Amino acid sequence: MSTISIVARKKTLDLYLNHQNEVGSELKKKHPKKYENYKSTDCITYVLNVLSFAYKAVGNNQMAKDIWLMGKENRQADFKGTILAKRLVNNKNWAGIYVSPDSIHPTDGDKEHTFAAVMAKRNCTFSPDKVPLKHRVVNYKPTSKNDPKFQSLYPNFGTSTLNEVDYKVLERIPFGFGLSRGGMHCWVFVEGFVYEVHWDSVGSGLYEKTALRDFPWLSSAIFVPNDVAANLKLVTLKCAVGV
Amino acid sequence: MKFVINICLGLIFIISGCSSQVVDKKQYLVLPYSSFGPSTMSGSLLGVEWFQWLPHGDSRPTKYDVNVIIYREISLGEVKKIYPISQKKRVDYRYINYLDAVSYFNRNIIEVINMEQEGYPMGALSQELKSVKTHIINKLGN
Repeated sequence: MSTISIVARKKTLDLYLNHQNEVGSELKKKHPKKYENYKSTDCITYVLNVLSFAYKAVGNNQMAKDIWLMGKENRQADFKGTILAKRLVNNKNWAGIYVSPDSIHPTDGDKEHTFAAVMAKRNCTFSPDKVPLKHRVVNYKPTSKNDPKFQSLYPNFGTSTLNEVDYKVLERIPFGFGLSRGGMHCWVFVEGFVYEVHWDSVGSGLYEKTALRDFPWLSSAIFVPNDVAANLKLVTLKCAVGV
Repeated sequence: MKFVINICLGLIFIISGCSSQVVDKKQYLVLPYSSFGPSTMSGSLLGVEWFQWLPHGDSRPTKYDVNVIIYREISLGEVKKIYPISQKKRVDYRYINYLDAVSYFNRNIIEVINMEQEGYPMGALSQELKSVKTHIINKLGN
């Protein structure tokens, strides 16, 4: 029998490869007439299309429906990826993994990444919405000491040690749902790759696939369904033990 | 005639300069979103880092021009009239009461110092937060 992760993986790749009838939501707003026969999509819609399909395929019709509203704190509120993630972790036993190519020296020189890495390790939370985290995979692409951004933030902290072991674990995860920068961007994760939608594009530019280690958003969080979460070969964060 | 025009312009300059200074000093202060520290820290007070009318941000890393209005001894309604949010003009503000802003800085300065003592990389963050807090107090009073 197929699990939620297996079905979601298949649907992720299917939409990535076949989206002739889709257009980015912002592009459609700009040219409604031109794209009137196209289905509107964007980063969160990609995630929800995949999850809804997968829950339906495994026989959970209620979740297939509920998933479209799970990111709303109340009826009036906007849909937020962080709220969806929080509910999947708290109510459906999903697991959150904080990821960052270098936990101390971000290549864009933005201290947000380092601070988020500290919050992940110290408090087991992601974003101001405090989405619970269970694992932390960092330093899979350490910044070189010669990089000018290395010097600009925390020059007294040495070079981070390359962590390939945990990255290999990520490469075996069949499916996850990702969030970057506190939920500013959402994406789908399959076996080490980020699959995302650009809301200002259509055709070949609408979907993009990038290796996690090269993902320009740098620090992020990946949330994996319970069928995979229970067997992840990653160290559990101290603050998440017994939670 | 030229003399009269110059006098008038001078008076307008003095009056507008004085009045904006008074308002600025006593009632409100505009700061960029980033002056409140990393968004993981500030988001619970300021809200999302991207334009508030968007369901989420761009799919490519983007800096949004969001400013924070800290106000004191003026109603929120009045501040909103002076600094209205406009989706059309892509102008976004967050309105924070003076006391909430100062207590945010007090709380987070202590928290950052604690994390620094625990060995976490905090760099100059506590100093940066202290200097923004000082700037707010200097402008809006203690």
